[in-house]
Amino acid sequence: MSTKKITLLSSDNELFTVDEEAANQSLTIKHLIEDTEPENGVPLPQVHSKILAKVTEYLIKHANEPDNDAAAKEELKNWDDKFLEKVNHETLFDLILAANYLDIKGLLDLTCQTVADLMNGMSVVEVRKLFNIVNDFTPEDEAEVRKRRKRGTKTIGPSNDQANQSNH
Amino acid sequence: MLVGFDGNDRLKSIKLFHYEDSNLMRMKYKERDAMPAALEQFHGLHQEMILSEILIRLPIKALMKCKLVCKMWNALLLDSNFITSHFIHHNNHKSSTSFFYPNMHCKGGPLSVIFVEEDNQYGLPYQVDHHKLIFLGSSNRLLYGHTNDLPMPKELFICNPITNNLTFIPNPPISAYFPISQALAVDPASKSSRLLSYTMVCPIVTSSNSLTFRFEVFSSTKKLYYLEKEHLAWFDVEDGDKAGTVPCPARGKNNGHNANIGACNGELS
Repeated sequence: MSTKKITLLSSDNELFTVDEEAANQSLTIKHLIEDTEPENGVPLPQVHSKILAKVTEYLIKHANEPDNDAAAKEELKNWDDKFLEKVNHETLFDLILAANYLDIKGLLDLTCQTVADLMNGMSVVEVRKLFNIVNDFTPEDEAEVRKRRKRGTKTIGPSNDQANQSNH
Repeated sequence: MLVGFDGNDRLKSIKLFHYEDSNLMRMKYKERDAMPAALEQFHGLHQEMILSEILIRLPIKALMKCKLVCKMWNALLLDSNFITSHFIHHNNHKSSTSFFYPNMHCKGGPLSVIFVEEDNQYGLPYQVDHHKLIFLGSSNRLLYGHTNDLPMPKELFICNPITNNLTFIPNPPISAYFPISQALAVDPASKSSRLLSYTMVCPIVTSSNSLTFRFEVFSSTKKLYYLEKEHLAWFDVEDGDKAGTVPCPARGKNNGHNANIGACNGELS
């Protein structure tokens, strides 16, 4: 059985060819094909070839997702882990933007979870650096947020009873 | 190249992700500079959506840290939509208990969901060790539950997640048998007086064979328990404590663990 091939055109005019089944995982591409029936490839002016190469790699691998095969699922999961292993932070964020723009749920889940895992062990300063954010809190603001975050940790017991009663 | 953005200006948040050197990015910036305001705003909102996608995947502890990143993040993390999405995302993976309470930031606004799980800090009283609390339910901004600090006996408590206050209330007088459930009703009209008045009902199994209940009722105004026999009490807490009773439904129907008691609009049934 021969499947229809779809050609994708990156922002820097590079062509990528994938099976229709693989391409349809991107709802954006699927709708573009349905609506415009492009002859010279689906134009994706927001995605650079460097990123589109990664995206198509993902689409091809995930074209036939296993339903009930545990071993195949495990293999796919390992592949996903490897897929983003050597990707630098900048490419990772570009992949998120592309997955969001192309509406590929699986890839968006994967990349967002990767960033979240990355952030999990980070300090506030490291998170700012990762997202290239400048701290715009004044020291007073920051103290206030910290205060709200951390209240005292008295131990539990009925001794607080009287003091709190009137506030309810 | 990018510099940081002013957290007050949401439009500039499109520069959240750093792009450094590629031609592509320079091209993108040119495009964006020429964008009509509406489109630019769309991109700003869009980016915030992507940020949410990432942040809902973080556990609560890491999220709390993220409040300190910048003003925009702090605002996003306090947003009730975000809290709800975070709850839904994590609730698909593991079970936790959730309660609704009115949004503390805007009066008459949508309800927020707070959720209670191991390392949760949303809206819970800070002065106690959360691991030792079991939350049972909520009514008009107050949560109630009991402590679980074995081998200490269980204590019932009422807590106000907004003021972070926690009050213990006496256990119902129990002789040989055990309380199977509690329900709480809070007078929604009393908040103006700073004193929320509430009523708690504890059905207690009176006999191990026949599954009959008596109802011990605790009222914050009387500060003691009184016994409600033979009837299910219902309360209109806006008008005193007890406004009426209905006969108990057929006994023995409840299978011992969950008495059907609910609180609705400040009334218990």
